[in-house]
Amino acid sequence: MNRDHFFTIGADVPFNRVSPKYGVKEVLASMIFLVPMFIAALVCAIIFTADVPWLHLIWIAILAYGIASTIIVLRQARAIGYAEREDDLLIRRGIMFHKATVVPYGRLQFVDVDAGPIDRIFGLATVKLHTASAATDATIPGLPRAEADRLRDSLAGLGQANLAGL
Amino acid sequence: MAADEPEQNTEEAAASALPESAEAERSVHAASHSDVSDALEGAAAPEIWHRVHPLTPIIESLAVLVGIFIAAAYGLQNVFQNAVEDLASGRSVDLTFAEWIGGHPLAILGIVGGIILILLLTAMFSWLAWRVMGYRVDAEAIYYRRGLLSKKLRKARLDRVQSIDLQQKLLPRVLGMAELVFDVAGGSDSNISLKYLSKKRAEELRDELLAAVRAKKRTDTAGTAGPDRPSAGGPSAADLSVAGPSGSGAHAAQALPEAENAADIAEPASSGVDRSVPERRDDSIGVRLSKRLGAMADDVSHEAEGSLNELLAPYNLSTSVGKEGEIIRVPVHRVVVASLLKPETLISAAVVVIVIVIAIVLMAMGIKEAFIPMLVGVLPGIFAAFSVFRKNLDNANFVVRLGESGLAVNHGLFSTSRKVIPLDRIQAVCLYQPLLWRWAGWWQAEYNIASAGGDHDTNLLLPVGDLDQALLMVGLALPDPQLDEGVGADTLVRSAMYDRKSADPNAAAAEAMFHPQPRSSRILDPFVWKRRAYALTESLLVLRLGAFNRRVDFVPHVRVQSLRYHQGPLMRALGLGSVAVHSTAGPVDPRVTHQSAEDAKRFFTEHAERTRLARQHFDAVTKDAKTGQAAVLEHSPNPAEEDER
Repeated sequence: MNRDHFFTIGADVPFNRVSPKYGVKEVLASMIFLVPMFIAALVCAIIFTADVPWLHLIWIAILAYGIASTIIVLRQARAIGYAEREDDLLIRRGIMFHKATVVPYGRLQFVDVDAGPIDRIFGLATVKLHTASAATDATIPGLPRAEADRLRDSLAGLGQANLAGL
Repeated sequence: MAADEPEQNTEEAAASALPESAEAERSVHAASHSDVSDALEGAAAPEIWHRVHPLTPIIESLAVLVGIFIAAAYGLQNVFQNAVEDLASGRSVDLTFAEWIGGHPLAILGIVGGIILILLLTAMFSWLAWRVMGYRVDAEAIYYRRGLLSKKLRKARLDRVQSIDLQQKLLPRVLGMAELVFDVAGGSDSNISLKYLSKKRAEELRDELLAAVRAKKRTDTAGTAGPDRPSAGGPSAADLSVAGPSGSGAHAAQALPEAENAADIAEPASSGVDRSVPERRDDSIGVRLSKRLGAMADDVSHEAEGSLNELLAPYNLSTSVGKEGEIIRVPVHRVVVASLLKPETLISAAVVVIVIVIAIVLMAMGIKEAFIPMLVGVLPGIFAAFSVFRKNLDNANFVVRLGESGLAVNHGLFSTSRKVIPLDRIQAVCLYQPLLWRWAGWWQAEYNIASAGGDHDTNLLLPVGDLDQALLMVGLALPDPQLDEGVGADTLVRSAMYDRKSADPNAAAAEAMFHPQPRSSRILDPFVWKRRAYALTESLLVLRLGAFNRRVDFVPHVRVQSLRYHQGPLMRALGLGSVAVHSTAGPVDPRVTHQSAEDAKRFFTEHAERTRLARQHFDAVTKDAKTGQAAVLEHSPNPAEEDER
């Protein structure tokens, strides 16, 4: 895929991507609200087309928004990367807004694995890392379930090993 | 411990720890009460419940009594007022009610009897309520029970107790009483407040329990399942070792991973200082100082002064230690003036004045309708300003004392509160100077702490103080900055405080340590871009912030949680990047803002490495100390076997 989705952060490590299904899942999740709205707007516009012709603008706007957000979401999903380094986990995401988070294993308090209903249809899960700081926003969405469990166990083990030195 | 929720759950179930408020508070039926407590403990220890002071129910119900009294006074006053008015106007006094009473002596008897009956019932109820109020301390936890009809039993595990504060509200203070507040890591609701005890008893109990908490945490941390090490406080020893070695042994082994983690996040013995570990270079200077003081004999003000000045040598301070180890005293008038000069006070005062002026102008123009709504608007403002002011006054008489358990703080104008600043749990420190404090040269110091219930009011290191006091408190709360030769820590901090206006002779060398923001950031930070900068020492990150209200943040490398690099579209157009340094919740939110993108990225990667090395070094020293100690103790079970899954 196109490499330019990744901005460089100065750390020379290979980044793992999240599952390609994640983008599809995000699009589907946004469609759950957009499609009924679109249909309702379209039906209204067709019914009242004689009286208020500008009603057509609404479904056009919703359609445009849906297309734009689909493109953005798909690109965003490809831009998420994470790297398990020797002593810390590096996560980066964002195309417009570049964000990179580094969480040392020794600082991990606990690791969450979440899977919502749509996640489960696609066999995906979200891994969330917690430290003592509420500001730490380290989530890796859209991992295949097995990979998420492996990552959780691996992080737990690494956290334990690093904490043993305390 | 990380990610081991299931294991942690079973562990908690085994120790039947109920740390959170919701579970901690449980209603226990009267009959089965003792059985439940036994089950909680898992040890057939005899229960000794201590009673609280007999005046407690009266103090607690005093509000109701005062209410009744006021209502009665109001009624009587009405009757008298009517009588006086009648007399004044020459009419005959309306005596129908008095006549009626005179005609029915039984009514008088009934009223008097009723009053006596109510008083008796109240007294009896108070007595009964007092009988069931009590507290108990064993080797595991502190229990507090109360309630006549619905029984309540609260339990705080000793190893979860973060601090023990002695609080005296106005009325109890008049009567010589105090309450002990146990801060348990957990929601704000999870505190146990033991009330009321005579002040002397409260102080004794506090010292006993502090020693017990410290001993408990030490044994857990060192991983010794054996008997408690001899703790200070003779009378407490009998109470505290009740549970016996079998119960506490099993528990200590289970609690170990948690305690190890706690060593870093919710540092053990937070109310005092964990002395099981020798001085570490990256400990804050205050912690090192208390470790030294702990090793000395009592009555050490002379030596304390020597140690203090030796450890604070980088700051070139000469502090004198006063009576009872007093190092800082903030007088009332300074707190009053300082709080009046705070921007929030000034703004609310300005709003009130403007509204009043507008009201007067409108009145003069004859528009009376606007007056009432304006009054309604201005009253809450006045109340808000007043409550802020009162909160500030709570910091009057702020006295910091140096003791072997760390820095003890007394503060309060009408009611005195005491607390211990948990130096070993401080994660970050900031200095703050509102615009108008500049003429006086005052600074405020606050800190971030590793605690679940972060409360901003209690995070004060110094409510207001001059430069030397600010340097002293910041110096105590932070590790030795470990600067190169030639630049003193005080020079660096002054440069951080006063940027290029620092009057220090060595200011140029210190200024060279700061990395300023590039010129392109002036669009994003028009006022502050020249002042904002960061500096790194071997052990600290220093951030210089705030153009009008000056601010300096300090983050020790060993305390950094995680890092985050951020760049939005506008910042990318200007070639800038920001890095947030994540600390625990509190007044300090350190960020290295709007550096050039390469610098920000380099800082991000290098700081991750820097903090890792600092942490590694810190842990290594701790580990050495712990293994050294474990070798001394003949019998130490290997907790690793239980941890592995």
